[in-house]
Amino acid sequence: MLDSAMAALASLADPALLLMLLVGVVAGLVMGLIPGLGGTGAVAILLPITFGMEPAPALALLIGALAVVHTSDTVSAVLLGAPGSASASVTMLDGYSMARKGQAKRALSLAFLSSMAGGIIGAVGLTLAIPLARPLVLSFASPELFMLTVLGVALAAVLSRGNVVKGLVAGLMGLLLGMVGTSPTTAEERFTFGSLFLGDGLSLVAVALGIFGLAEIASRASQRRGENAPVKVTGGWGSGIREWLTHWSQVLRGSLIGIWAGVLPGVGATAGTWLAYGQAVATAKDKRQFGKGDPRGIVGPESANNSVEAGDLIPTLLFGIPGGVPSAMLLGMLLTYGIQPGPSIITDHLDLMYLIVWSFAIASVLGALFCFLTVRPLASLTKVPFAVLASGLVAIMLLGSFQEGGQLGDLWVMVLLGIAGWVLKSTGFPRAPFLIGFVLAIPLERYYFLTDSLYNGFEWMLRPGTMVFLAILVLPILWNIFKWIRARRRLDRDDDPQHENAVDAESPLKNSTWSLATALVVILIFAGSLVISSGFSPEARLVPQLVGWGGLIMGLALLGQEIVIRRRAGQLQAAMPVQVAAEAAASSSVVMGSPGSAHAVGSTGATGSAYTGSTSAGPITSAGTGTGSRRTAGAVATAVPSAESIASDAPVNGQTSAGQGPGWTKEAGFAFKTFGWMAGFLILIGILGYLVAVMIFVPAFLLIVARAKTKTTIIYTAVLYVVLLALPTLLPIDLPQGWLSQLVG
Amino acid sequence: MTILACFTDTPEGRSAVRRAVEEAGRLDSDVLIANIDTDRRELSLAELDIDPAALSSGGRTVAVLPPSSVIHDAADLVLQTEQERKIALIVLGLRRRSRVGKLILGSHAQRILLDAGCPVLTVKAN
Repeated sequence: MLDSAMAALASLADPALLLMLLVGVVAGLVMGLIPGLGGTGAVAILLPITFGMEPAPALALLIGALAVVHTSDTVSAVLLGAPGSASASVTMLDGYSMARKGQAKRALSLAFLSSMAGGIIGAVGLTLAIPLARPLVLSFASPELFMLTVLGVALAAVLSRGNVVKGLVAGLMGLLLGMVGTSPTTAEERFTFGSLFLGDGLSLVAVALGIFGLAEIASRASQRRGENAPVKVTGGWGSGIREWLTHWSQVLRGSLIGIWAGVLPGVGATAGTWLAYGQAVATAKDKRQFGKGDPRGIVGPESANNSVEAGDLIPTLLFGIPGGVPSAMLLGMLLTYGIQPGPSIITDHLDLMYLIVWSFAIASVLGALFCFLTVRPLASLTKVPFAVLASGLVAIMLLGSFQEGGQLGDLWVMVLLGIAGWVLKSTGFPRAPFLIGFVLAIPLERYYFLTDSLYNGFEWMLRPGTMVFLAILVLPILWNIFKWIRARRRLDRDDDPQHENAVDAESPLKNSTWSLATALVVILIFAGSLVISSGFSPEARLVPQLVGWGGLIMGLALLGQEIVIRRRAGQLQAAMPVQVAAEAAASSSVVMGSPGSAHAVGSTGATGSAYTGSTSAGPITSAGTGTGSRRTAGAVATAVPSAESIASDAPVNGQTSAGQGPGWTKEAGFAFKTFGWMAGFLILIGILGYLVAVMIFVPAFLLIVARAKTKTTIIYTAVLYVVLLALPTLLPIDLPQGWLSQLVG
Repeated sequence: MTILACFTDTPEGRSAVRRAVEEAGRLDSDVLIANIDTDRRELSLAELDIDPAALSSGGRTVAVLPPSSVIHDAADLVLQTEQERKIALIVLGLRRRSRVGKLILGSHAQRILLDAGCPVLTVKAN
């Protein structure tokens, strides 16, 4: 084992591999700075570049980026008070206060060093997990692996932030989407509607970039102004570094919490950092300084958010169950190389495992070093408004998802899923279970049929491993029922999960007409899948039918919840200004007329039409929800002081102003306009080809949507054009050709 | 001098607030009410059915602690407030919790009792 570890380290001495690692680190640092991208965005954008590579350099590139994303996201949190990712918002609490006192360097050096240590400890944890889990993993056969896939989706759904029913719905939707394409057992086509393109299944990059990347862009593209001028980088590095050494126990504790949060599927960096912060507060004797610049409030969470990414890799590599979204994509990437994560990776590809470990550790050190050296330029980068970044990001993301299959259809899938992702995000569905379900759909089915053909009846359920997993699956359900009964008797007031339904900054459209419509669409989709799948052969039918029924039941439960919330809110706000309703109606009709907003709806046509339908029905049901008064502080990771949270807090006590009400909000209009732009861009690509389309789309988006200066627009477009022109010669990348150039050719 | 009352929307919590106001009258001190219920919303004095006039006649005030965006754990919130504002007495509602429940969910009351730097008065639901 030590041999393979050393061999992996020696292989990293190869300059080509080291170069990839460096490129990954730089890319990861830049993407950490861009709000909303985080590890998911970093892996999704870099993944397409790796398609032509060998596994080792590809892994070095991706791991390099993943390891350092949480190192640089601190910069904007500390200097601007605007976190680059949700997990950095924890660092902001104490880091920004410290920076405002003129101790920015102290805060940053604490953060960078903790990130570095978190990454290294995470890598050590990953290393130790290999020999520990090895005998366990090798004893697994198909029944255990089947149970693990089920557990992976179920835990992701249950442990994700927010409502459990919504998590389960998202997980089941992901499973359903993952089953589009050829069935693994009978080779018949499922849910393809006769399309050859869908027969291959949906591309992972397109799904991930759509659900996360484009959805994030759409919800943030309205930020036309950059952040305020950052706090000056003052103070001394030395004091921070010395101080950091005295907090070594916090570093260790934070990292361990992070690893554990990473191992659990669905518990990501955000929850992990809050856990670490809570731990730091709870164990501190003197709690007065927390929130006002306590170093312990920076050290613990910063160590945790880096080690989360390493922890995520443990179940991903050893069991094939992704612990989080970035690792779900990494899993997809390994599968395309024919490397099956799980037991076989330990026997056949141990060198790759250790390569990942070493890359992670080295990248953590390099990332912290780069951050120390380049704080000033990094800080100025955060001043760029998101709307300006958005146009380039859209162009790059679409190019990325084109690489996997080389089909324009993937790009349409991506935009459609972007809309779905935006709706899920805004109405408070966790999106991690969705992607984890999508990745695990086919393995789940394959393991099930393998199990079914190897064992008689339900004999496989009696295997000890299976029973343990079954217990892990069932016990939380029983516990929840028990809690629910106690809550009924009002004995357990403070364990009451009511606060999960509160509106928060991340999901402003919760408990609105939107979420009600989403519940209806979910029911429609699952019912439709049941109808369609009833035509399949018995073997191909089983799993889709199970998922369909499960989804239908969950969808109905969701609808019931929405109606109950709605009724309660209705009682609270019986008197509702009529004017709001009128304005909602006006704005919805305006939007229906706006170009491309409601038209970019294809196979998920049900989704789009239901929304436009529900908005026009808005006036009837747009009575406010009244949960605005039930503030954000209850849920764990929601106390992010941002413009959005102010907006969602505004309609307190029934005074719902138009535009912030639950009907058609300004943000929703903007998001759909952005999706309209994306659809227009796709049409341009289809006709004129990618390069020409970029030349039209980017300047138009910059001038009209982002309202950038003409000079900025010209330089931006020119640089992007040159980069895109040079890209195919540097990397194995294809640019989409348009209909016109094909005609000429 | 300030008394910190820990409010939850339960009989115990209301009883604690009531007792804190009584104590304030006796000890001639201000009252600060912290909402440590799960929702952590900002309380309004009106819903607590206490009579601020009774206290303010003696020049004393009743205030509500604004929700914290930093600290989510109820016990930590109470302890931080206690350290920050030099609280003289914490009044806390107690309720029965099984051993298993305490093992799994922990006990805020126990943490406050053990870690607080000032006397803690605990009351039951009536």
